[in-house]
Amino acid sequence: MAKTNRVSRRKILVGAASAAAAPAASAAATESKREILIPQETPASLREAPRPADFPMTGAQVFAKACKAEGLAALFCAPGNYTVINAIASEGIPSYGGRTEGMMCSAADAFSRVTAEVAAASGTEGPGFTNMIMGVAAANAARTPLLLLASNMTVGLDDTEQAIQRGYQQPTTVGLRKYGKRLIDPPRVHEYAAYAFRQLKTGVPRPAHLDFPGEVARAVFESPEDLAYFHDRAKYRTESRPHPAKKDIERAAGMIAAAERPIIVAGAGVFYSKAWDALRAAAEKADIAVVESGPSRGHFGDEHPLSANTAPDALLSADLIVLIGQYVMPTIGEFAFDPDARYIRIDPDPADIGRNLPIDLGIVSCEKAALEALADTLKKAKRPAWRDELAVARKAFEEQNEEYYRLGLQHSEAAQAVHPAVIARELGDFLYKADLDPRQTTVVSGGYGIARYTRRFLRAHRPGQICNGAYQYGAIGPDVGYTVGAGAAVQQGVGSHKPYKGAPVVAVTGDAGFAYSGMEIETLAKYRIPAVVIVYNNNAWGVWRNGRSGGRGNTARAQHMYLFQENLRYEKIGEALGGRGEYVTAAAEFRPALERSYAAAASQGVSSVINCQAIKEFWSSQDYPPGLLQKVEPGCMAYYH
Amino acid sequence: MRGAERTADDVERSLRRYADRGVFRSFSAGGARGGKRKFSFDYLSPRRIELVFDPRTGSLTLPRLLPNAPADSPIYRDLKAFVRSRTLPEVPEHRRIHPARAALRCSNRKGWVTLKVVPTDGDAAYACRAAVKLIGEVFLGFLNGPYAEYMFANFDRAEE
Repeated sequence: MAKTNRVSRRKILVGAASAAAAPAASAAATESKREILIPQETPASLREAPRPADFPMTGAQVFAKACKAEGLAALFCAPGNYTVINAIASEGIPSYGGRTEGMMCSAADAFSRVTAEVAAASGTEGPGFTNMIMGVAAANAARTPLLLLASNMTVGLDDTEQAIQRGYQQPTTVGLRKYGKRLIDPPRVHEYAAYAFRQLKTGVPRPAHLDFPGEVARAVFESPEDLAYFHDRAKYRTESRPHPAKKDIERAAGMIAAAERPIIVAGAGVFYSKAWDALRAAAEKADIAVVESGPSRGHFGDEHPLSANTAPDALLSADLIVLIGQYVMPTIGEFAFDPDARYIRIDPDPADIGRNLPIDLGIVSCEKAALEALADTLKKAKRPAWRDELAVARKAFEEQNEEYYRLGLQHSEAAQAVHPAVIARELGDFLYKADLDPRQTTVVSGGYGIARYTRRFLRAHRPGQICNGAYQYGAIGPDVGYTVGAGAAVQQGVGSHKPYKGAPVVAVTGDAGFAYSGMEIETLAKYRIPAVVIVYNNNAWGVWRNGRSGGRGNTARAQHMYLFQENLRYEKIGEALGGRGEYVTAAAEFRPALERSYAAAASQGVSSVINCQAIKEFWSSQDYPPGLLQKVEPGCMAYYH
Repeated sequence: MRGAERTADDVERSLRRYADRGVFRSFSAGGARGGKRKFSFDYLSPRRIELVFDPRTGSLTLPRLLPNAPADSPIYRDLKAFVRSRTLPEVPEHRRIHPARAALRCSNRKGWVTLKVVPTDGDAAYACRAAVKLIGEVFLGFLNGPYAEYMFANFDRAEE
């Protein structure tokens, strides 16, 4: 196995070098004498059969068994919390070890965002735990069912500052979680696993955080009698879901029947309740338009004639808005709806219904149950004029995108750099209009300014096909961490990814964001998760204009703080970490680089970094129109809500 | 005059309906001044929106709706074209401001843009609805176009 890796890796390095510019070729000639190798222990370890624990068990093993029974889909971690992560891996739960706890937390978040399953992140006490905070906050904002785990020294020596890494974890995650508990009573370890999964698997999801002191993780239980509570999950939680009141559904059906241009906003709750079939049935029965929102896309495919995902101008025409599972609520104006539009909101949490947007009808229900009931109750209706309007709006959107692409080609030529519209259009053409099955490739859609172009061209045709990176919390850094999680989901063939198991994933990020998570290219390489990471390199933070003379504060003295060195070679990080690198400096080079990278990922499981050299001035609408783009939500451009 | 007052009351009722639904925030109906009725509310913009109803003509004016758009600027040129386009038959009927019922006007004073809806059939209620819809079309449609820098600078729109 190791030998095979070595041979194929050499071939790939040679291929990468010949594809790059001349200086890269000479660099290849002076490659280190030592090749990058995946150690033999890694594939051997991954081939090891699960070893489910049995009594006598440690607290960590009891917890891991509970996780297995609950169907915990994956664990992402950096070492620390050893007894727990080892026990989870031994139970046969797919486990991944990366370079930082923070990015592994983001990986777990993304795994859930593209599968609708619960995933866990784990880190060591103290610094490992606090490194995960940004990832936890992003998961919390995105309403991700993230199981956050961390070791935490011992209860017996709390407050002493003996040794290192002591800290109070639970107060740190207040406001960033749905549930949290420091486990202090060893016999209750299974009970608290139940507490966590009750929260993770019901209602509106958000993270659950458990911290494990040594007394609990290392406690030994000879038999079930040693545990205070030890039950099958059927005894500590229910799969029952709140169903809508019949009169509410009848009223909703009546409002939909009376509307001329109804639209469903299908949020994260539709995805997490796996209600896409019911959504489609309800929409098609009464010709209701559907527009997606949330941290993932694809639960209502862009190709459907009722999809408004790529029809932003039609949103203002809707006269009835049905918000389903829209956990992150916009305020008035954040969704581009008409002031006279009426609203129905369907949500499992009655305490949230009525927040931010006025409701004409609120329905407390599981999203799937409500959509099934609606599909049953709605009278068949045809709305050809509404369908036509959607089609016209989609066409206008595509024409606008084409105009941006045309401008992008001109700007690329003029600036001798790669304009974001070129990257976005060529990527869309490659993924959806060339030889690939348009449903195949899962995309992590991240970055800042580049994302405002790529989102316009990315398409989703199955649930979880697009992971919306910066969703709500606006973190620009975790994109490669997200790629590890989404890539692991595809590698495992979980959920809608099953037919495309092992296919490459594509990620889009910026040069600012790549700095936070680029080391996780090593994790992609180590696990042979095939990915193509596109880095939009404009030599600056996306918000660089704030430091200009005339920017906020009107001083040029701040500008240096917004700029990087120019022409940085991020692709070499890819090469240095066991992947490939491509440096693209002209528009015409992007598509061939993408094709080579995708081929290497698909055929050899090798990840690539495509460093797309741009210039920061592309964000100027005066010099390079249209400059930095705005967005319209909900739909394909959405990432706030 | 009583008829004019009644019409002004109709406009207030129409606007207040948006406030009651939570679409407008901090709605305020001022008294008659110089024969005109002034309303203000928060809607789609961090700048408070004013709407002035003139009972004599039935017109509704949105004074100083947009700042820093000089008369010779591209954004003002584009805005005028956009406003004009709202009356064209290509616009879906439910969003069109029908020229037989209301006329739309754009004016510019030192870079401040004022929009005005003038009923051509005497129906102030229609004109009022048209004015509110026009605010929506401008902020949710037109200004979401290639005006990111303008929105950052003038409407405190988040850059991230």
